[in-house]
Amino acid sequence: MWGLLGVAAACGGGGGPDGYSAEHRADFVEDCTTSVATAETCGCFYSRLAAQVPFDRFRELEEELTDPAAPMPPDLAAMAAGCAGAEQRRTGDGGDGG
Amino acid sequence: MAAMAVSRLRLAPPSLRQRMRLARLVVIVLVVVVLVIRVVGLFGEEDPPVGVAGVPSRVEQGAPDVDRSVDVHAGYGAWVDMYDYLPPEGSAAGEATVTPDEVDDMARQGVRTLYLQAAQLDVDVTAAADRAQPLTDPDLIAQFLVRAHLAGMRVVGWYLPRFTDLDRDLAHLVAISDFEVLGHRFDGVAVDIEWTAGISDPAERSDAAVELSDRLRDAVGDDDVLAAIVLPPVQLEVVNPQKWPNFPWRELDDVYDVWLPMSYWTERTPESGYQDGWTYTTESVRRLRADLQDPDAVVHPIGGIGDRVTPAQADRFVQAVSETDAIGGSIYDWATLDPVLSGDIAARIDPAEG
Repeated sequence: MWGLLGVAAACGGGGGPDGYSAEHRADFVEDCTTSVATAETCGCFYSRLAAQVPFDRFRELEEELTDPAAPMPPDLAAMAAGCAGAEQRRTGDGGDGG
Repeated sequence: MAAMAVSRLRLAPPSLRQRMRLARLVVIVLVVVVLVIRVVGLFGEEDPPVGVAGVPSRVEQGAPDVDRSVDVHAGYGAWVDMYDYLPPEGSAAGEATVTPDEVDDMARQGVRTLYLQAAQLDVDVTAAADRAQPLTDPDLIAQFLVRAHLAGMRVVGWYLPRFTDLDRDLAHLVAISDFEVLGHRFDGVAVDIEWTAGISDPAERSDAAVELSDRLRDAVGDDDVLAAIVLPPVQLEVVNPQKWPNFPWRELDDVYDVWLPMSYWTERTPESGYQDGWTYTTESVRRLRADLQDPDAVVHPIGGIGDRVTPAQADRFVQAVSETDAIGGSIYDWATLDPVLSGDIAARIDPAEG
């Protein structure tokens, strides 16, 4: 309840932001970050959303997915998973990782 | 006397003021208790995020329990190699022939298991990957993995060892086994034991294949099911006995739980008699079980090559899968096999028969 009020306040109390923005990104990443989804994954997810999903569609999805029982679009799931996978990319360990 | 006075005081009923004080104290204690519960609730057990920001959390909640059993290989499979999703730089193909979006098509066709090449030695042949990576492209692999799981499919990650650097081969295989993204893991690991160009001496090559397999088993533990993708015994014993003489079937049998012979009959000549989906597959499975000295060895034959498979050959292959009591079957590979033919094969390879 308090969390929802906080989000509503951050969005100006109604209607939400008009587009992707730094402020919107910060709120999104804060909401998204959990024990399995790092801030890096969530930031990457937001960037991909901003690049691939028109904001009007984002707002529709936001409304649809407020219902936890609503089906999750597979492309969105893959987008988030790709970000989490990309985070595991290694550099310079000679392939000896894992 | 003084004690009696104190006792009388204690036994006397509380005054109105005392009762009000007590009531006030009870209210304060209740308010404190409620506040503590709210604060602990807020910081201890957070509600999962909702809306689009909740997608990663929901992906994690939807991760299946990984049970690396032989059942992962039951039914119809689809094969995707790294050149399908990471085409080499400057190649004629230019673009990926298989993308994560196609996983939904696979599921609709009846594919139960996606066999995904998840690692490659010297992956610098592609523009998008780096040879230092234990996996080809964790970003794309994660997308395939999660989309397949959401579609109800299982995913086996496979790798082609060259046997010239066993540490690196092992690192790639263990990376597949360990890979986890938002709670999703591969449902199985398969080793593609076919590379002969790295070590020319067949005995040394066999030793290397056995050593790598033993080390992989040690690394993943006894409970994980491991699959071996192998050259078909007909090829090694009849068609070309010089390719890999004395292949170490018995030694490898100690490590692997499921066998996937590459019975690509389209590679055989009509004169050999093996350009037939039934003949090549059934004889390969029979020889394989004899070589393993295990008449009940679990097999999942792979037919192919996709773009040269005729409906009649596919029909014979499906017959062979059934008659050999194979747990499943598939055609190499998804990108080259006609979708209609693929759907027909899927409908006839019933995992319940496995």
